[in-house]
Amino acid sequence: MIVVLARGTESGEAEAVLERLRADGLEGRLVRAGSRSLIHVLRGPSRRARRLSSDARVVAIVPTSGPRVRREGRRFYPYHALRMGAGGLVLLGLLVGLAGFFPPLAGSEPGALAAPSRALWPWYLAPLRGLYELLPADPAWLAPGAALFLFGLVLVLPVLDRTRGQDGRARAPVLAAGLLLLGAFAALGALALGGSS
Amino acid sequence: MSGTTREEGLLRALGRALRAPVPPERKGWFAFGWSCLALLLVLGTTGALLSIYYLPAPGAASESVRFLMREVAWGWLVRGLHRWGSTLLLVFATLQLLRVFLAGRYRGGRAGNWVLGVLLLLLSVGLAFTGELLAWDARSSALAAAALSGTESIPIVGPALAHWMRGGAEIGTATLARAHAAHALILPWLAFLLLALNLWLLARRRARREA
Amino acid sequence: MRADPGEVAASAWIAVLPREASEELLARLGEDLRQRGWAADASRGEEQAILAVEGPRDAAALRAVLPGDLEADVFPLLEAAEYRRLRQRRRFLSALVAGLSLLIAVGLAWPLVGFLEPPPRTILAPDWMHVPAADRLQVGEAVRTQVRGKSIWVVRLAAARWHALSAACTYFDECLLEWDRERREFLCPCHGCAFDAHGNVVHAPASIPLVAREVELREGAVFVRRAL
Repeated sequence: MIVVLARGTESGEAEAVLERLRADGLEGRLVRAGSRSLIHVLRGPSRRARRLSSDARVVAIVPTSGPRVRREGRRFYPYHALRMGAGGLVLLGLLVGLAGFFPPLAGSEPGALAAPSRALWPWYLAPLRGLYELLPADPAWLAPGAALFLFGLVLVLPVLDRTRGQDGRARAPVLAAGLLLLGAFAALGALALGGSS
Repeated sequence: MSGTTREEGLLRALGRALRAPVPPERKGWFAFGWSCLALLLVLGTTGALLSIYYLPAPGAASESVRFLMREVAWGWLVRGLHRWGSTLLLVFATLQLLRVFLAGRYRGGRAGNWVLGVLLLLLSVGLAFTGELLAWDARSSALAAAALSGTESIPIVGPALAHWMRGGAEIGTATLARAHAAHALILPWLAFLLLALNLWLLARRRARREA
Repeated sequence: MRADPGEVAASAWIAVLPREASEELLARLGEDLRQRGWAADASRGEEQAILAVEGPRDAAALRAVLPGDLEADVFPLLEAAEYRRLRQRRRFLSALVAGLSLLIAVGLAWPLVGFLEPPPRTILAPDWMHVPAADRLQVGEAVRTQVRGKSIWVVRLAAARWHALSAACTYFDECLLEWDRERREFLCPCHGCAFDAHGNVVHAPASIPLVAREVELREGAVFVRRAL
């Protein structure tokens, strides 16, 4: 942290500012370059140095995290915290917009059991539904077994993929398999949503 | 430097974590994971608000929902936020898993995070589904029946599992009560635990990298 | 606070160096700068080392003196007025952010309070149905609605008295009754039956009075019992 003093500050006044710093538990050194003088805060909690900004002799308090900022990244607060706060607000706005323009409908009368139709199943279960439709219903354990098996595959992916590093070639089969699986899910979903009744 | 009491130490650690530098992030990609966290917060809040007016009994349920939509100030908005929030959560969670998969960031020490992520996605689907049942209208009943018959066909554990979920021999009050308990308390609690574990793993890896 | 060193027309600069920079390096750099006409002074602290310089040249010339592999941040020492302006701008932005946040917080809090406030039409047991149209009835008016698939009339007889009666004629229940306001009677368009406001038969061929349902008035809302 650097305390910039007014142009032409006499050494006596500069010393007084240094004394004030010392009284606050900070150690500083007076640095002179030509007509500009400033105090480099060497040690101590920089926060306390900010109190000096009310002093008439002090022109500015300049923080100097220095190259460490570039190397190690910015501090979580306030940089990332504020950014994430803003992002959260954007998300909330999106939600409110969606809820406002596409409000939910109140349901139908209770009790009456309608025959299950295409529109019954929620979209996120469409791939599962597609799987059930694709596989024969007999034996009965085939469809749930397949579903569980596929889910298990996804779950233990880190065990199946033992490659290391960012080498594209080594991961190619894994990537291909994964994308194939994804495509299969999408296809199943499409089947469930749009297929013949 | 630890505090004299455990709370002091925790607070200081939290403060340090908040002020610690974050490595420069990779450009591009949207923060799907953190969006999921934000969405979960929104869902939890709107869910709590909805539970003020929702009645989990077969006759009252759909009536309470209609009451909420028509008579309660902003009720339609809270319900809309809740529904859309769940849709977005599912989308973002899937996208997050997809991105992690494509980047290969599920290997080695990150395996735990991957497994937790997949489980959280499963929980989200479960939450969405139980939520749909709560309206207890014609569609919900049909959905419940279909889901239960599907569950019964699972080998070995199917019938017992379906019996548990149904809360008896027939779909009725017990089924709704169980769906409500699952949606409002059990699944959110599980999700919270998994989420906390996930965040802890992330924090631990970051701390290790600092040292 | 950090402006691009090439653009600002300041003659005084600060170079922030990593704290690992040695005393000798600082001394040497100071000498190099002084030889080129700069006034320079260095200081080494706990977090960083700094070089303060004032000279006739711009930041590019300063950078040329610093070794290439040295991680240095260079920024200008501005005049008091410029610092003041930057401070004012920062304060303005902070106030803007604070104001916006407050606005958003209020924007969220206000519907929340409205939501929590119990609506006047409290939920009764599921057995009672709210008839919004009946709330707005004047004395002597009636409205027809449906309860559990059966048509009923809800008629307002006095300032605080509502009646709910079956709307199907008891003589031939396919016919739905109409309300006659002047005569205060329910008339059947099919066979000429008439019932008074309490459901009693006034005109043949009907002989069975209309079935009444319980009506409750709660905070200005009319509720009709679903069950008979």
